[in-house]
Amino acid sequence: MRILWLLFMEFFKIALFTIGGGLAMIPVIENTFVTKHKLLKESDITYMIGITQFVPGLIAINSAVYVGHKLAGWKGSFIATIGVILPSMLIIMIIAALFPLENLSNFHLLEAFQCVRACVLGMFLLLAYRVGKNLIKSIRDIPLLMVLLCCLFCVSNVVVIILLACVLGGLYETFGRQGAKKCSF
Amino acid sequence: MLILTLFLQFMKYGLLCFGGGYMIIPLLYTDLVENASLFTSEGYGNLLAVSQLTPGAVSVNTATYVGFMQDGFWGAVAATIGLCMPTFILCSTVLSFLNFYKNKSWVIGFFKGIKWAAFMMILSAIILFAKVSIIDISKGIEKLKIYPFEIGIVIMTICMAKKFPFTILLFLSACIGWGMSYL
Repeated sequence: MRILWLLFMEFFKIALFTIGGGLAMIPVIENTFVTKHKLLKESDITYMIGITQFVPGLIAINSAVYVGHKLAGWKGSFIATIGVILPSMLIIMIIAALFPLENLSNFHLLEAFQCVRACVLGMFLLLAYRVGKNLIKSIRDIPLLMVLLCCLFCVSNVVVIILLACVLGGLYETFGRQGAKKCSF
Repeated sequence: MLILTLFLQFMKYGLLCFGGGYMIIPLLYTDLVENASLFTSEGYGNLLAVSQLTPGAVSVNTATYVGFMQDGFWGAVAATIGLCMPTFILCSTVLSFLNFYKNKSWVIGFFKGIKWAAFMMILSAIILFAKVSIIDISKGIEKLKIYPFEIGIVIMTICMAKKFPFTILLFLSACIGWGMSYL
């Protein structure tokens, strides 16, 4: 029961304070559940990011379902999903009821939001450092990384990059690296 | 009846969102602006701006707004639940399925590969957020614009991330941005 309440509150807070969509929530989820509560491991977050990309649907909902499933089964998934959509619904309904869509271009507001996006960028850089540190362990991993980076800059479709990275990475980790650790999720 | 239509319509969008809620934007444009002419192009642009600038998932915000405009409170609820349900069911199913087969070699291989996919995904998110915060290449590579002040915010976030929770940092950067816009 306590874990369900915690899931609800944490996802409610995450959705309430994160601007920029489901993608921007990922570092905040990582910070909340790995650093603050120590309920998940760093590798869980890596799997979460991968799975949110594979399953069609919203990143925010997929992340909530993954974390909820991991911590408290299907009940946890359900509660976390409710937690993540409730703040959006409340805020948008208030906005839709009070403000017409026409007069929106407030310069100060736009500037504030640009700074929030810069803050999210900083979080993503930190996340990339932490994930990359666990991923790239020897000089032999560099060629694969270079190939994938080239794809990242040449191909604009994210789904293609993700699929390619998954296939190449899976082959490399299975056949190219000796004594690979058993993984669990 | 309108509630049921909204529910089914957004359920369709929920199924078609590959790789995140952003995919709903072109789908909605076709249905709402071109076919049903519920919005003008400009109104739709403002709708997207509102959804991106308010907290929470972008597509959930959009769905709630469209539902609310068409059928008030229950319309908003129907649209949002319709959008989220396919994702919820699909993701839960995939997770249980993978858990069930987790000793099979192809599942283990999949999870080894997924780490690389996740890393690439983080990098592409970095590029995406860099484009909307610190650099502006919308007018071509020659007219590249760099915002040094926002780079300062990025560095500040990295330095202070150990000591402060992210929520406070987000608030702080919003306040700084608001204050700076008066200078």
